[in-house]
Amino acid sequence: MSVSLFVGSAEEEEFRADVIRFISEYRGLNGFHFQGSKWPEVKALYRAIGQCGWMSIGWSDAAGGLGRSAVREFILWDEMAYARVARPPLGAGIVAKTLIAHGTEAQKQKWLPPIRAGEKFFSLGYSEPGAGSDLAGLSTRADLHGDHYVVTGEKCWTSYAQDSDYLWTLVRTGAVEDRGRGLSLMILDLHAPGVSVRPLPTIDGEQLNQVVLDAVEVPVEHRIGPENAAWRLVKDALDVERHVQFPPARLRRDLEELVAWLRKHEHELDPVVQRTVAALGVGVFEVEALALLVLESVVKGRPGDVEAAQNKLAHAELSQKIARAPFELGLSEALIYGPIEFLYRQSTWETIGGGTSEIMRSVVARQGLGLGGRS
Amino acid sequence: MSIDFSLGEEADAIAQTLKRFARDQAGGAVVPCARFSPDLWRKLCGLEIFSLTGAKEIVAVMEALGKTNFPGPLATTFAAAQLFEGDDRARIVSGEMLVAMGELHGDGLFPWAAIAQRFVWCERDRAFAARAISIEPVETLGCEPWGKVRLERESEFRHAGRALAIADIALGAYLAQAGRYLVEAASEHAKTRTQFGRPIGDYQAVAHALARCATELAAAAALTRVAAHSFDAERKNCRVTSAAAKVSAGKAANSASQVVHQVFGAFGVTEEGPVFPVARRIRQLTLTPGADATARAHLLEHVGLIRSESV
Repeated sequence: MSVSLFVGSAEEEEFRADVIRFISEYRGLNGFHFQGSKWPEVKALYRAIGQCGWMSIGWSDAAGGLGRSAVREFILWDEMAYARVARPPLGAGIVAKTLIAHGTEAQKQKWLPPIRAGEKFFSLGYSEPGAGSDLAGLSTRADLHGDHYVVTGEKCWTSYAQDSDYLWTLVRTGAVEDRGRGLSLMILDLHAPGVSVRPLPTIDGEQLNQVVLDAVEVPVEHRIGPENAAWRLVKDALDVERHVQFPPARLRRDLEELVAWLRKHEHELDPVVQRTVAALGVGVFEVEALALLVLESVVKGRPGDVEAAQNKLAHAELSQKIARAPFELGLSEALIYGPIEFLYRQSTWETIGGGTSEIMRSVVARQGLGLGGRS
Repeated sequence: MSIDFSLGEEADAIAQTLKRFARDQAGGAVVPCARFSPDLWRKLCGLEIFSLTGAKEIVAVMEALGKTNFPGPLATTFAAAQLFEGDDRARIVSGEMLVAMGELHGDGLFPWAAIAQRFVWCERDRAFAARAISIEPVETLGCEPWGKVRLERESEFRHAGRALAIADIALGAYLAQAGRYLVEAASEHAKTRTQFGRPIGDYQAVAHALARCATELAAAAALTRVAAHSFDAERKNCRVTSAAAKVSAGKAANSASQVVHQVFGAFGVTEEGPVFPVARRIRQLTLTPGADATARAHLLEHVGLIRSESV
């Protein structure tokens, strides 16, 4: 079953073969699910990816990348997801692409080389205790004092902050009532004085973090784009990264593991099990088709907000359906610690992280159907 | 497939012609669900659509017909055009001869048996020409003239797998767009129907239910197009992707029917309302005897749960 619905050109399929060969040295790493607890190994893997030039595979030549299409990026991270090896790092995607599009020459010189080499890593500092889905309501404040900002506030539910070098963060530089028009984007050193990172252990055995910012000094040259103009940059960054955010091969792998488990426990002849698995098999095809629609929109430079929301929604919900199937089927062996109960715990995050399913439905309703989507 | 979900200019032109034709015949947005009209069928065949053999063109046709609730043994006829040869094929694609095609189970219920001149007896990916020994006509929810039959097998068709794949792709394309029609109609209604001082589409209870339907239908439509590309490229996974596309579209279209009935409220359960003529046809098209089990067998083999004889 480990065959993608997508078949690229001969060169693209040759690249896929290269990626699979590369991954074979890292099988068993599972940095996809355990990036935090396996950080030294995952970091080494990212360096190796950097040495292949693949961290910057989609960046332009001028920015020091390989100048390949979004299709190669999709293949790279889809195969990484299938092998459970790693997720696309924030630095090489959202951070670098925003810098390339909106950064100064000095910023590009400073940040792009270590990101390309897989040596510097970023966490996403958007969410706050009072601003999750409604980011325009965030309150972490950055005030300009001469050549630096003083940043005070709190970020939370921050992935990988414990291991990252920098926080790619949204802060309020304008008035609260300006909502999204009063926000700026900054790169904040996570080892600077005034930063404290507190772990928030999660049900999958990993952790999110609370990041408290107590009068942290951020050089003005670490602000990306104009002051109070972050909203557009954040949106643009999502547009160019959406094709690698939710790799469908992860779900193909989930289903394969479920099928292997069902066979191991001799449930494969149960007609209810068969109906359930067949429906999940259709679901995997559906999500893969939606992911390809998203990829098409990125390749063709088309607006793809609705496609991206539909893909995220379907991907997240299917991950939970697959993970929960043994429990719904009443198979008590699923309770025993192992890959099945782990997926149950891990997939719970999928309909929350990266935009909740409720927000995704509102995007589809509003932009796809012209409906209000308010409570 | 390449990253290209478009069907091509030729297919788009075919789709435009079909949309105009269907709307002219219907005299409204959709063709009512009524007793089968041989006259309307021959007019459709006069457009020479059943001579098409490329899956992308067939998808274009079926998407256009699905959007207008067009009646007839559409998917079957596309498949029959791949199975039959010579004079029989010519009479089938011109509309002079109707084909009934399906699996035979239990009480012998067989689609389109009451008015068909040729019978194709399917058994998973095999297909046989068959002779009808007896036919007992039955009325059905979707106004299709089915029958309870006793058949006798004659010769086996070659390349049946591809013909059955094209039937699944055609049906998937039709159903995804039939469902899409319903969701669009309900969305328009939800923008203008006001309750408690606001359009009902402002409420998440309504908007999110329709968004879920739109998502499921988008997935089904995309998967159908992927299956069409696989068919045209003669890929090995074409049979399972076509089966998955059909199942996906059927599930999404039926789910949309139920949601849209609810969004229209009382109007949604009236005969003159816009939902039931489409919903009943969707139900009919997604309940062909044996089709579910065959699709399931393909899927379970594909995911490696089991070999087909164990399903």
